[in-house]
Amino acid sequence: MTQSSPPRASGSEAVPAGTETSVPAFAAPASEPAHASEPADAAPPAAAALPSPPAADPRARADRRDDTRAFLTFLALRILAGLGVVLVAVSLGFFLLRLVPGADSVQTLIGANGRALTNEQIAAVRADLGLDHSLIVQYGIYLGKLVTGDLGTSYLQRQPVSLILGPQILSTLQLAGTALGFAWILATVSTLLTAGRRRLIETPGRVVEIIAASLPQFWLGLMLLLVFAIGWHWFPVSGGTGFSGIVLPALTLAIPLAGLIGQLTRESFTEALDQPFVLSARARGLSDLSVRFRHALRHALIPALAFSGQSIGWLLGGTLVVEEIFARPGIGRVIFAAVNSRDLPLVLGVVIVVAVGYVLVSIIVDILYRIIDPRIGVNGA
Amino acid sequence: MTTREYTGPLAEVEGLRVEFERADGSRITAVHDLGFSVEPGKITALVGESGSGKSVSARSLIGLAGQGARVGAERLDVLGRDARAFTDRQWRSIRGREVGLILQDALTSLDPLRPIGREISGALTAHRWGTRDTRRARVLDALAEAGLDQPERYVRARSGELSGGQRQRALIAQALAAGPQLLIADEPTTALDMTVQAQILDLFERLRDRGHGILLISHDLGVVGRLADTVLVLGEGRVVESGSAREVLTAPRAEYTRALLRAIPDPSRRGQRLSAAPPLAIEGRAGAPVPASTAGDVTADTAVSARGVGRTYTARGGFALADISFDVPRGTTLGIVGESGSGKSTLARLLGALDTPNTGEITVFGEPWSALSNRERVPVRHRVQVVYQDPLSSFDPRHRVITILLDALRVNADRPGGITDRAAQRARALELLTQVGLSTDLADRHPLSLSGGQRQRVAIARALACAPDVLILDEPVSALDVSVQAQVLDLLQDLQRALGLTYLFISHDLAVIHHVSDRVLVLRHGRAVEIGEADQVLQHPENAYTRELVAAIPHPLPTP
Amino acid sequence: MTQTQYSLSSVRQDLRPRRVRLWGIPFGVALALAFALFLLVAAVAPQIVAWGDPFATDPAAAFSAPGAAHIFGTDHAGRDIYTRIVFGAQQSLLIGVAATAIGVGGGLILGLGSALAPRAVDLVVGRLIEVLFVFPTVLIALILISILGSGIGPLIVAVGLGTVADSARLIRAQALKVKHGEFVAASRALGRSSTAVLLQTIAPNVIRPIFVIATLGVGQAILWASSLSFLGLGAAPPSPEWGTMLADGRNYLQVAWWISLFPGLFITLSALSLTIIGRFLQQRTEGR
Repeated sequence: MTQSSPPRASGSEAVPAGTETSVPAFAAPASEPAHASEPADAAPPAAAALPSPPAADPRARADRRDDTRAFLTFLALRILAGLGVVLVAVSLGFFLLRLVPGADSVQTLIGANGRALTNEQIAAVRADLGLDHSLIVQYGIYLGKLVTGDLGTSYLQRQPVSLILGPQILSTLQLAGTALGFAWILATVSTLLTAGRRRLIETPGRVVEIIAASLPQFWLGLMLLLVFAIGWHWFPVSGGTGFSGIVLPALTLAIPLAGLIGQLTRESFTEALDQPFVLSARARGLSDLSVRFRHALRHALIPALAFSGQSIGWLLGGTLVVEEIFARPGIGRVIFAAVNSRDLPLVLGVVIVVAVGYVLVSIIVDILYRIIDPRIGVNGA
Repeated sequence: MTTREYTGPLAEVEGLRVEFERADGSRITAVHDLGFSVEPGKITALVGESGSGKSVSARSLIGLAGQGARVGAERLDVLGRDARAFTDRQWRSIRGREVGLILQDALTSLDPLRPIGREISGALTAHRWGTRDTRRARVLDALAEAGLDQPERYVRARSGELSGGQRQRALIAQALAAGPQLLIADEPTTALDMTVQAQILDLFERLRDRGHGILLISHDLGVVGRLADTVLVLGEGRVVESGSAREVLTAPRAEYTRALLRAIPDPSRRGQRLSAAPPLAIEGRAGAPVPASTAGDVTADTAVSARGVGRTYTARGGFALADISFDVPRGTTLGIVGESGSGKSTLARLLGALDTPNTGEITVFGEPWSALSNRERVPVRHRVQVVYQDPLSSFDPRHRVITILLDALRVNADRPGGITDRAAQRARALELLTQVGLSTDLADRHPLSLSGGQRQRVAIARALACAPDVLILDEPVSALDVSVQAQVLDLLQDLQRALGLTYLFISHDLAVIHHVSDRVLVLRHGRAVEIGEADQVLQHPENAYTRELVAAIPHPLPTP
Repeated sequence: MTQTQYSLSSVRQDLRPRRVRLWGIPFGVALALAFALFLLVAAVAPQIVAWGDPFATDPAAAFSAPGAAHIFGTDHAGRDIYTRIVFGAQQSLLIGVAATAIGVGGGLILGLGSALAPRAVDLVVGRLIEVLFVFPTVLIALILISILGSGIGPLIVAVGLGTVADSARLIRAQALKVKHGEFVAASRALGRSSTAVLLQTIAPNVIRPIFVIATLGVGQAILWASSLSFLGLGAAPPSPEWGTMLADGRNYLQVAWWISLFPGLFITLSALSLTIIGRFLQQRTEGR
């Protein structure tokens, strides 16, 4: 999906942090909304953060306290924005699904198998499902319940949505998490081994990554099954418990993702290797491996991390396909069934799960981002 | 760790030759037959412009000549050991421990993600030096040796959190940490402000006095004259001239060296030409205003005037510029000088009307300028044009040289004196190219394929296409080599004389400012600290800060 | 000169083998172009590259392994896989191009709208783009298909709308980059009015890479569309749509691997070659 998209600097919504008290007046242009047209001689905002030598220690402590406060503000704003995203997503889903022809027809909803229902029966069912109110009222009721943690009741299965989704979420999380882990391992190994080396080694790395990124998951899954399950019997064809059952599905998701991540890490890794600080490090006597591990890798992981945060939607989309191929339980299969049967509460439940998942992951990524790249904390952008 | 006292030459090089492989497989020789030596307690300098092979030569001493490099030499001794047959492991063992490397601009030369302390102790761990505690102590020592007071304060900071001078000292500390006696300093002060540069140069002198041998690489003859004992002038990978610093800089034998020296702006030769190129024949504009010589009555003929101009960027009350006032008589040059953070670029944007002042007003020929709305300004905008430091980013990436000029002509086609005829526009564009000393053969090239000097000429030609009265020159020569800088400065002077232009010339370089300006404005922290006649301000400064600035200028000729 | 040659192997140095180039085009790009050309021919005039009938069944030849008679083998009804793949190219390309048109078109409106409009608008549209981005493309497509019903048309709309968020982000980023570029300020300083700067300097530079984005997008759209068809939401059998063929082949994975292998291979190669071509164009337009 996002093969070509350069990863958004994931901290872009960050509030300006930490600069409030420590920037002397003359460096003010730096706190202008950051953009490229900033005056060129405006000292980088941080240059003044540690004022020329005799700055007393209390000052440093105050800076740190400010940093903590700025971080908490950032977190609060981020969570607030995340709630906004979830709310809009739910509303969009709610009204969009009502566009489905016959969305509120009881016949479709409860799958009456062609039996004619009496008007009284229909009315009873409608009242039961809350469909006798106007759309806005239904929306209000839904949101009201949502706040108390009630995701509603599935039309079809007549069970609370949270009960249906609960166990499935775990299975999907397991799959997506393992896949992300595999993808990172594959991408990192490929970058460390082949990036920034001579062409004879680098080119195969590049080629493998770009091919991996073009593989359709459903086909890759089938081919893995064909070779490793049907051909060599290393892994079960479907189901399977424990680790052996998850390897093939996770790989199916991980390989294309590793291709995408690998392309990013390779680019920034190679870029980092050409930086003067790498020359400085080599000139200190560091070995090639140390340079790669201690310096270049960290720089390479930054865009990959941002991308991983964004790839959550992609991963969840992929689990739908993979769960289908490998006959695994999970929310992918639930949504497939729910959309087909127009089970509104269930679909909305999945939408909420996906949106919350995305928001959580992007907050975690933002925090990790700040840990890996402390410059963000300083610049606030 | 005390510096090991090695008394022989720290490095001896003869017949050094470095070749690079190009992407298409062909070979190019970057350095031919170079020889030099570095003695303890002495500074040897390699001087040259970009592409002269000076960095590559120096880095060959630690086996880091670069990707695709093949290095050969008749002699390559580092601390008495023949380095020609060094293995990887042997190279690593001398890097950092026997030879330290100091690069330019610590912002990029120290890992921005790692604390300074970790960077410095990296030099120690790489050589399995000491224990955790002794290493920590050594890191603090190294920071102190590099002239940082209270070194504990810097250990956990990252390069981005320090000022330019502090981080350059941290960079020097990381090179000193493992106790190398030989230091390679590659343009170690190039990115620094003038006053900070002076302090770092002092530090190098102290290091030399402590017995370090230093191989200094610089394009700046002023820096070299200040520090070096021995100088090698490189041009296109060959030694053009070598000898003691005094000899080379005061009595240069090679024409190349003489031209380099002549290219450096110097107060004693103000107004004279810096480059060997003859003045360009530029036809004066019909009805061009009378040049500066007769501009006796200043107030009657003021091109640009600022009154109490200030610019605030945030609600917090921080300001970039406050209360700036000046008048620039028609046909003269006002030099605006300041260090980073002085607000000079903000002033450039205000003058170019790319930004609006919060307080005060700028007028052009007595008419409102900054007070106009964007819409009102459009008809008069062409009168004030801007030339930027980085011309490439100021060109529309779609445009070739000719289209850059045509674009400017077309925008101004409907104004009085504009050219509407397509063929005439093209002819005018080519004429402009000739005027700025460029061959018309370049018309169809993309700016990406031009050199820095050529790009700046195109930028000047584009400004001229608008038939301006005033040019805002924002660090127009800062990114250029000295000899190219000389040519561009000469061109600007020719154009001013022929066309009666008024310049507002912004720069951090006092020598350049002194060379070009009639009057000078000194900015600091967004305020004007001094303004007056150029000679007055720069030779007899009244303000303490200006005095400090002037004192910091390194002069190429060693003081007798 | 008597000297020892030593190489600095610890530095990232390589005596590179010369890059293989055909008429100045890198070898990989040339291959990708060749494959894209094949696809184009297959889409416009399939008869040129495949002589059979994609729907002709031949029960006697069912499940033939790849060989001289059927280079990619046959399926359960004895239909020639190669012929079907060639005839399926038209649909895949059509879906890819049409969906990308919708995706990039929507992306243009949203991306430009948010980047060039006043801050307040940007805030709203920027959020909207993020919300769209939250939804997995497959989920959007699923919901849309449940509204519109299954079939090629809905598939195109679904994939197109599903990818709007991606192109919107790319275009927004590009527009912001251009908007704050120094050459835009320079263009204003020449004497252009704000409108003229927008139309003559900003717009052309934002639109310039659209072709690249679209090329890359078509590859991705083909991937998504075939995924949905594979799930039974797109073209219905016996259509030779690649995803549909794969879904069919899946039932015979244990006995006839080739039914699944070749359509998937073609999907991969299509996406791959379009990506390679797109990247190449990208490098070209960036002029580096």
